[in-house]
Amino acid sequence: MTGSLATARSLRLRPLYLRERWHAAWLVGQRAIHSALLGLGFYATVSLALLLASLLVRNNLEFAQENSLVVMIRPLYLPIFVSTVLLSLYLALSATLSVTRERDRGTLLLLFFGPMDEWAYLLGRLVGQTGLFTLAMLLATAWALLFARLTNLAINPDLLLVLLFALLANAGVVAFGLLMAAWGRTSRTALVLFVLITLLVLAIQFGDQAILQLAAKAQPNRRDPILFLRQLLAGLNWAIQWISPYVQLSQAMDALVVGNPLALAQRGVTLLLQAGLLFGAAVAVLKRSGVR
Amino acid sequence: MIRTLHLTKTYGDFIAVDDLNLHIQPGEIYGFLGPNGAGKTTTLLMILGLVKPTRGQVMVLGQELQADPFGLKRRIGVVAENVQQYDEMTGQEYLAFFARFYQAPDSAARIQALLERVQLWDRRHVPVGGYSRGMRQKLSLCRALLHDPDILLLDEPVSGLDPRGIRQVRELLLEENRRGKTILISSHILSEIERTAHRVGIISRGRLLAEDSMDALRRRVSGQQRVELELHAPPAEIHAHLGQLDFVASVDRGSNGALVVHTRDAADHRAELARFLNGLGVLVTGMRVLEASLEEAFVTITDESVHSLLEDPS
Repeated sequence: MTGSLATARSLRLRPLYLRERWHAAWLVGQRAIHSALLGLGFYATVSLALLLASLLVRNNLEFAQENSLVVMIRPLYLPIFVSTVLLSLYLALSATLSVTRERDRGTLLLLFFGPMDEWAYLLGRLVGQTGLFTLAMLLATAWALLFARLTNLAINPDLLLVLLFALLANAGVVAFGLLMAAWGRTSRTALVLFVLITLLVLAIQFGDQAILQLAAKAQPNRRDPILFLRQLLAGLNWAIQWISPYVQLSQAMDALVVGNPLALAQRGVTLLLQAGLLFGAAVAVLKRSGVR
Repeated sequence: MIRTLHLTKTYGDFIAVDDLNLHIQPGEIYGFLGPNGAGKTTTLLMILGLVKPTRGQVMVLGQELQADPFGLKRRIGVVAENVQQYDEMTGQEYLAFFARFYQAPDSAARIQALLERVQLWDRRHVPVGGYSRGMRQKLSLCRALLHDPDILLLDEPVSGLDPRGIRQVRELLLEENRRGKTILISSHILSEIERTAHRVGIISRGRLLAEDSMDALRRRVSGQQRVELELHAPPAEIHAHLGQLDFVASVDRGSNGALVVHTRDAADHRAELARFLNGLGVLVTGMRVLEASLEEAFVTITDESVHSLLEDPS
């Protein structure tokens, strides 16, 4: 009873330090943006993403030309999706490496000597990467407007909603990168964890598709190990759709296409939850592993 | 100002800091001494809330750090050993970044004053990556002082500095102390601590072995006094003459040719010595008490601790 009273009192009395945390986070974020804009990686990734998007649109246009008539709903969605995946993976990986490098060389400790805590520091990193993604999305919007003008492809206002959802998906992926940085401690371990987990998720998603085809050809009976594998992968894939921000983004785009606002809202909430949970986990792990 | 109560940190079976009770008074310079691995840095990190104590409590400015971590940390300046800086920034950019971080008022003037004080103003546009170790150390001190903190925690602040740099840093620290700052210096450069600290704590294997003023520590290690005598044309048998005195334990020759009289106790026997030599008709041209150095105190106290541990391994 006394213990719970004390806990309640400490919870009630502990301030959130929102102003102080935001000040520290904003500085970290600004520094992250400044460093990225001075380097080549960000520009190279944005260029690659836009090039890839342009190739996809061109491919669609050629296909339409060859077939005289192709009905395509929202032809810019796929290029935007691909660009989001590429950019967010780059930003998440660079967040992972920035945090671990800062810990490796000791400058992280330097920040924590002052008015800084794990929340503020990781929020700053998230803010920085979100700022960079917003900048890239502004460029992508300019690219989409230019392409629409050149090709007569229709630009739908709900493209702005897609960009908003892409921003949320990016926040989730960057939070995943921050979690890997907090967990991995050194740059090398964090990088290995990041790549391994990403590859594992991809392998499950592609494996599920592959095994479906294989299982169909083999006509498995109830004891067939392929059937077990198929069920396992299907289960994992179902779980991944709730974990992966990309699956949620893709489903949000589908919801926009079919005009289902409820499904869209669900996807939005899920993306927010994913980002929040991954970020919270990153903070908890960094608190546990320490900043040295 | 800073108080640790039964502060303990263990890593598995290893005890890094063992029941440490420090009390650093406002406005004092406190020297925190100990051999490598004694637990000095762990203690500093626990004071800053960056390492969680296994047991015990830390009070800074009268409250626990958790009570107001952002506010309290803004009142502390830290120089840590072997902590890197942002090499890509220039010295001025580096300090400007931290001035914003600590929300230091009037930062441009403060940065200029500090950089001029440590003679780095001319190098303000050079990236920190191009600074020597000594310059980095001075820049760290500037960073720690930027926001005019009440407390300075300094871990090896003069390591890597040349004699001129050491002097600059020492003068800066003494000046800041005169302005009211409380300073905790952890160092293995004992001569520096000896010149600056008001009180000293000696830690070994995580335990505080001694904590006292410099004079008290010297008295503690030397149960006797050493008096250096400069005599004009002393007789050949002067050693034997002095040896007759009750309070004289031994007499030997110092490195500069003077005689060094070791007394049996710590009392001041200079007047008796002067009278005795006068009676012998020997002219005394100089006489001074040789104080035990901090180094001697440190070695004696840490040796005592090692011996007691060997005798009583429990």
